[in-house]
Formats: sequence, structure tokens, C-alpha cells
Amino acid sequence: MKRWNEFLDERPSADFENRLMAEVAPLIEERKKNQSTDSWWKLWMGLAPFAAGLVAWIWHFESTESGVEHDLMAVFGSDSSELVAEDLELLDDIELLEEWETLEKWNS
Amino acid sequence: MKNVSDGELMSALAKGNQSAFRELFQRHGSSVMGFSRRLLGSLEAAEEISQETWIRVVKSAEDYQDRGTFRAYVFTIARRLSLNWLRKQNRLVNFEPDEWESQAAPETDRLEWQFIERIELARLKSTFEALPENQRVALTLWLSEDLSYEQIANQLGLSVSAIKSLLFRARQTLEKFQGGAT
Repeated sequence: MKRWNEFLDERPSADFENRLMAEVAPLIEERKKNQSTDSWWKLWMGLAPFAAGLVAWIWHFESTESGVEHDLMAVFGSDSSELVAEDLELLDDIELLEEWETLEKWNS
Repeated sequence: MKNVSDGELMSALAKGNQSAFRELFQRHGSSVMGFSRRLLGSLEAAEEISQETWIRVVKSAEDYQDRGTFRAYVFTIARRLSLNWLRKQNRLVNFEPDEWESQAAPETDRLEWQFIERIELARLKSTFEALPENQRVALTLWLSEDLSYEQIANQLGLSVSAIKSLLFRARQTLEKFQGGAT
């Protein structure tokens, strides 16, 4: 009802409005700060699975690499820190040789 | 900000936008203040409740879900705070109308209240303010928020027949003044 709504409305005084704005301004400012903290937090939360995946991959890679180094040390008895790419290629050759030897045995 | 919806303003407020708050206050500040004033009957109390209402709007902005209207949302906050205020002042204790008044009060339809349009604004104001507090509160909830009898009864801790009676008496009083110059 138009008349009722007209009756209901009561314009707050300028003094009230100023007091209210002074009261809510720090709360709104706090919201802004929380918002940026929230954004960072959400960003981190969003990146967490990727970060976990990356850590897992690095760990897997490290352990695989050290496993390879361990195997090579057993073969060559050398210090793993000095192993180079050639050694890794050599390992492939050894595996091929072993396969070839197995086939030779079967054939004979 | 004029073309932005209330819901969008609340989202902006949740992110700390002060202009969004100003715009919401410009749009609904008068209604909230008037609603509180009609419920509580004093400007001082209405300002206290109005301020608390807006503070709560800011604090709850992040959780606001744009389902109904913002007006209904802010009125709900103002109503709860106002009724709590009246309770603390022990002013809701004698809200039950006299037994003889509660009998056979007919149900009223909102359309029947159209006569208010014919009452001069100043006269409506003075007559309204002269109503007994229980009638004034029931009538404000009835006309401002479109609450049902059951909802008003629930809010005030009264029976449905008591609400019917309060509204009926208020209507009788106001009807005397219809037809005044506008």
C-alpha cells in the first residue's frame, strides 16, 4: 500500500547517518582485509593439490634416480656422484645384453 | 551503483566496498528506521535498533544468500532486534488482549485495509501513535512485512485469535479517520 509505505518511511537524520558510517567503516575495512587474506588462503588451497603432486613427483624421481644409481654402483662399484649419462646408457646396453643372453640360452 | 541489484551490492559489501553499503543505506535506510520507529514507538529506540541492524548487515554480508528480497532480509533483522528490545523492557508481557476482545474477531483481508489510502498522512501518524502498543506492533508486522496471523502470533507469543482481535481493534480505530483530505 502506497500510503502505508509512505507512512512507514522515516528519513534518518544526517547526524545518525554520520554516526552509523563511523561505526561501520572499520567493520567494512576489516572485511576488505579479510577478503585479501581469504584470497591468498583460497589461492593456496587451490594450489595445494598441485604442490602435493609436485612434491610426490620429485620424491618419486629422486628415489628412482637413486635406485638407478644404486644399481650402477653395484655394477661398476663407482661413486654414484660421478655417474654420468653415459653410465645410464650403458645400463640400457647391459639390460639388452642380458635379454640377448637369455634368448641365446633358449635357442641353444 | 544505481543499476546494481541489492544482492550485487551485498556481494560488493562482503568484499569491503564502502560505496555499496552507502547505496544500500540510501535505498533502505528510511524503511528500516520507519519500521523500527513504528514498532518501538520512539525515535531514540528506533535509532539504536536501526544502527544495530545495519551493523549486522555488514557483519553478515559474506553469508548473505540472494534468495528473497534484501528488504525482507533487513526487515527480519530489524524485527528480531526490535522485539528483543521490547522484551528486555518487559513491554511484551501484557500483549494478550482482554478475553472479551478476543472473541469473534473476524479475519481481515489485506485488501480491506485499502481505506488507509484515504487517511491523511499526518492524521494516520497521530492516530497510529495513539494506538495501544500491542495493536501498534501487530499492525506494523501485518502491514509492513506481510506476515500471516500465525507468523505474527508466533513472533509475539500470542494466540492467532488474539492477533485477529488486535488487528480488528486497530482497524476500527483507524477507519474512523478515513475520508480525510489528502
